Amino acid sequence: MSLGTLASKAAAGRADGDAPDPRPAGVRPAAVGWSLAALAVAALLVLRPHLPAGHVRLLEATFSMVTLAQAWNLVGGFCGYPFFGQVAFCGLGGYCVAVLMAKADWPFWGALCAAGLCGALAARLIGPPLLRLRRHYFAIATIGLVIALRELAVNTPWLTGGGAGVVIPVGGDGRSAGLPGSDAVYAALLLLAVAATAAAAAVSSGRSGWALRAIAQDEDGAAALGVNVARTKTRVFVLSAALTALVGGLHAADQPVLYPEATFDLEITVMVIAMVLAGGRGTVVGPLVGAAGAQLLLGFLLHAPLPHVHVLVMAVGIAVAVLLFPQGITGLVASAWRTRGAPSLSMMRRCRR
Amino acid sequence: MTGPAQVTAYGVLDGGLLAVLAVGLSLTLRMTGIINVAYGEFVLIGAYLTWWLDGHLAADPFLGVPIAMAVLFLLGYLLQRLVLNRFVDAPLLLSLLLMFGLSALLQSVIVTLHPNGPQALVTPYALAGPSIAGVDVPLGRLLAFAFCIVCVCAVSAFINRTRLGLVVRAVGMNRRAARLAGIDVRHVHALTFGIGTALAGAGGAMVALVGSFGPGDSEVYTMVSFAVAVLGGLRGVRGALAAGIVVGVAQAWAAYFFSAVIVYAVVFALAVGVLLVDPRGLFAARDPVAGGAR
Repeated sequence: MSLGTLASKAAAGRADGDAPDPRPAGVRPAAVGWSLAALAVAALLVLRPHLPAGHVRLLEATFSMVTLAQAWNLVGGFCGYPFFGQVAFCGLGGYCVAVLMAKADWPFWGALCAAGLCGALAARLIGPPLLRLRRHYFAIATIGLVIALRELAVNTPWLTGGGAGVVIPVGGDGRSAGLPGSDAVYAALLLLAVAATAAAAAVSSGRSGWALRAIAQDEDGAAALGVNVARTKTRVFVLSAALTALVGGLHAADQPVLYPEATFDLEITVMVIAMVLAGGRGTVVGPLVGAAGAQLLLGFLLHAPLPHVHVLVMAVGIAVAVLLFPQGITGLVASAWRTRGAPSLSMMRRCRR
Repeated sequence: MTGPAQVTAYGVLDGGLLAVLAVGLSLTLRMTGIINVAYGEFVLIGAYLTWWLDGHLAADPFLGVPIAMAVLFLLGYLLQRLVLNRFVDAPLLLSLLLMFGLSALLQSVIVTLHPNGPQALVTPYALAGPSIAGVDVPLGRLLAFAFCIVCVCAVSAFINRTRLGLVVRAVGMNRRAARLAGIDVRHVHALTFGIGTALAGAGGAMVALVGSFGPGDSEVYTMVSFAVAVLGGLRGVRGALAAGIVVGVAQAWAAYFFSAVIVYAVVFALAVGVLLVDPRGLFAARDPVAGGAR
C-alpha cells in the first residue's frame, strides 16, 4: 500500500522542512511548525495518564476527526469532488474488525490491518467507475453507496448480525482477549492522525498534488495536458479510503456492539465536510485546524437540548462562514499575514470562487 | 389470488407514487441545481399533514391532499426565496451541507411532534375494490395511482405547455441569460422548489393512504426518490413515470420472491448501477441544469 511510502516521504520532507513550498495559499509548513507539531504529539502522548476519562474521550474523537478530515480533504479538497460517502469506508472498516473478531477470532491488530486493506480494496474496485461521475452525480452516487452498504449490513444477518448489530465477544475480564487497552487505542488514533496529516502533506507537495489541483480546476484541461486523470483520482481515493477504514476499525474497539444505523450515519460525513470547509479546503493545515477546533468546541456544546440541532447550527455557521471567507480560517489568517493587516471585505470577495 | 400477478399489480400501482416523488426531486435538481436531501422530510410532513387533517376535520384524505400540497408549496417557496436562493451560485458542497442541516432540523421537529410509532390513514374504501382476473385491485391504491398520474401529467403540462413553464425551463437552462432577459430568477427558483415540495407532499399523502409511515422513514423516501429519479434520467417526466413503475415492480418482486428487507438494497443497487453504467448520465448530462426539460 502506498501509505507507508507516503508517510516515509513525509518524514523525509520533515527533515528539510525549510524547502520552498509552492502551494498558492495556506500556511507554510516551516520547520517551526513541524517541531511544534512534534512537541504537541509528544505532549499528548505523555499527558495521557494524567487526563480525566472525559477528556481522553474528547481527544480520541478529535484525533479521529482530524484523520477523517484529512482523508476527506484528499478527495473533496485537493481533487474537488463532492464526496458524501466517506462514512461508507468508515463503517466498512468498523464492520471488518468486528466481524473478523467475532466470527473468526482474529486478534484486534490483525483485524485492523485487514480493515485498512479492505477499505483500500473496496475503493480500488468501486473507485474507477464512481470517479467517472462528476458533481451532482458523484454526490448522489456516494450518498447511495452509504445507504447501499447500510442495507447490506442490515440484510446479511448471518455475517453482520443484521439490525441487532454485531457483538465483539467479551472475555472474563470485561474485554475481549484480542481487544487492546484504551491506552493503545488512544496512541493508535493519535499516530493515525499524524500519519494522515503527513500523508496529506506528502500528497500536497508532490506531483500528484499538482495533478489533483489541476483536476479540481479543470478536469478536461488536466487530461489534455497529459495528467493521467483516472489513475490520479483512483490512487488518492484508495489512500483516503484506507485511512478512513482504519479510523472506523479503531472505533470498533471502543464499542461493544456495532449497529448499521449508527455505523453508516451520513451525519458523520456532513460533520467532517463542515470541519474541512471551516478550516480551509485543499490545504494540509485547514482540515487539522477545522477538525480539531470544531470537535473540541462540539465537545462542550454537546449538551444541546435537541439531538440534531448541532448539525444545523454547524451547517448554517459553515455556510455563512464559507460564503464570507471561502478559503476557510487558515486562508483568512494566511491572507491577513501576507498583507500585514485585517483582511478587508473586498479581499474576501476577491478570493471567492 | 394469483401471487406473481397480484404482486406485479401492486408494484405498478406503487410506481405512480414513486414517479410523483421522483418528479418533485428531479425538477428541483434540474432547475435550481440544488440536491434536496431533505426531500424525505417534506414527504413525511405531507403524510402527517394529511393524516392530521383527516383526523381533525373528518374529511376525506383526497380533500386534505390539496391543503397539504398548498402548505408544502408555501413552505418550499419561502425556504427557497429566503434561504436557498443565496446558495444557488455557491459551490455544490455548501448547498448540500445546508440541506443536510435542514434535513436534520426537520427530522428532529417531526420526531419531537410525533414520537410515536408508525401511523396509517384508514379509509373505508382502502381495501375494497374490483378483482380483475383473480387480481385484487384495491380502490385506495387505484385512487392513489390515479391521483399521482394526474399530478405528474399536470406538472408535465405546466412545464411544457405554459408560458410560465417556459420561463422555468429557461432559468433551468441558463440562469444568467434568463436574468438578462428580464426574468425574476429568484421568484422562478422559489416557484420550482415549491412545486417540488408540493409534489413531495402529494407523494407523502399517498404514502399515508396506501401504507404506514413513521418518523424514521424520511431517509428511505429521500433515497428511493433519488433512485427513481436517477433511473428516469433526471430529465423527462415520462422517464420518471417509467422508472417509477420499474422500481415499483422490482420492489414488489424482490419482496415477494426473496424477502421484504432486501427491497431497498435492490433499489439502491439498481440506481448506483445505472449511474455507473448509463453513458447519458455520465457524459451527456454532466451538468444537470444545462440539460433542457423535454
